[in-house]
Amino acid sequence: MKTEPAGRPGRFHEVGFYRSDAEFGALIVPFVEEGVTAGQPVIIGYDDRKASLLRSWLYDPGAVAFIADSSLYATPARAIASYWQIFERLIAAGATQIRIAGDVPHEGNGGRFAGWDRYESAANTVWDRFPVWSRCLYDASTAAPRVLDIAARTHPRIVLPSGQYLANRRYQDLADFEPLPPDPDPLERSAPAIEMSDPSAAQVRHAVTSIGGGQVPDTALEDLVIGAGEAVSNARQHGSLPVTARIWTGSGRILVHVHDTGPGPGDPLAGLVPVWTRPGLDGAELWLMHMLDLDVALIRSRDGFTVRLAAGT
Amino acid sequence: VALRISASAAVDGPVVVLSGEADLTTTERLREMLATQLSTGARLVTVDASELSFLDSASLRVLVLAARALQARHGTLVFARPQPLVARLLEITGADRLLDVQESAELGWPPPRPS
Repeated sequence: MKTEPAGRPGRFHEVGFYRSDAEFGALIVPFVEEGVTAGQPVIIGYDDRKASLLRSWLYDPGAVAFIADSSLYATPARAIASYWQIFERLIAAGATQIRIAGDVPHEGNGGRFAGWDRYESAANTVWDRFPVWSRCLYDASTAAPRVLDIAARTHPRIVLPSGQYLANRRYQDLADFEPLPPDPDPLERSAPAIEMSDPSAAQVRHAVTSIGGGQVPDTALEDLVIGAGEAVSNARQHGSLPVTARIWTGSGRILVHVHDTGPGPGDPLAGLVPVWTRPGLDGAELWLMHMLDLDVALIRSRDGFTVRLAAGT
Repeated sequence: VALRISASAAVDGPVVVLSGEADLTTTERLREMLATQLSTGARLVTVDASELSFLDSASLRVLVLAARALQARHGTLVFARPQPLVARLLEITGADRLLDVQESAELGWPPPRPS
């Protein structure tokens, strides 16, 4: 057990667990107050209840940037891109240490955890160029065991309500991290409405449009059309033929599988890193589909690689 | 709808008109057309997207790389009058910060002077 030397700027990604508002306060208030006192930007991405609670505890809540926009955590790729832009602005304005604390969505706080396991792992490297101190706090009384397990495997150190730090022996580096297997989608139990062999992206886009019309809101269908086309382009450029597209619909939901017989992307950050940070804009297809309002799962199996996209509820 | 690409000369520089759907199958034609316009030494290239109904990430990559090439010579790629779906794609990807997106540009006016 050790205590972090005060005032040392750097890059940290740490986790804390609490079971009461008092423990939550003990974990977050010193983190925020120390940052404010040191003149560091502090960014908080909490829901209304936790943000109000924190405001009521702070000496000067006006010195803290509360991001009320719920779209910050709309998808993991969007959260990474949004924070990236915030960090760029703060560094340009002269910041030498930035502190952030936000709530990753999971079923215990009214969200869905699917995909956020990869986000928590990616957060260890994706902002390497920025001096970011990120403190992720999980409510151990509401988070599911698998969420707490991911939290424990994706943060190099644990902070206790006492303020002490523990080196985390369960931490897995990005390369070693084992994400959660995607849950099966109920629609997959039935036969797809259509199955297409080696389709073009345009054929799949038009099939999604005609099969999905009226099944989900127009904006959700639009995102699925874009995402399905990107999945086919990705398979055709980076995967191995044959490429198979399958589309299911049912009860306000549309599901698309785009399967190829290649191994899938080797990069654990595939789809999560803002494409404009890469000189040749590589990986734009997977990134764009992760930026849309879709449930995206990358599924590797013995017979190849599947991008699974779902729109609706 | 297959992509149609044409180019004309306006007084400020070339205008590339796109109509239909731009995706992986049309990126090479788009790349060649933009390269041709850039090879004239133009510093302002305008893409008229008013009839462009779809744009995928591969096409966006071609446009952004052309915009970067123009920026390197202190030029600009104007992406004019995108339809809502295309405008949304530009916004989601942040490409609207890399291209000069103009919702209501007046294109081709005044007409090119006789040489």
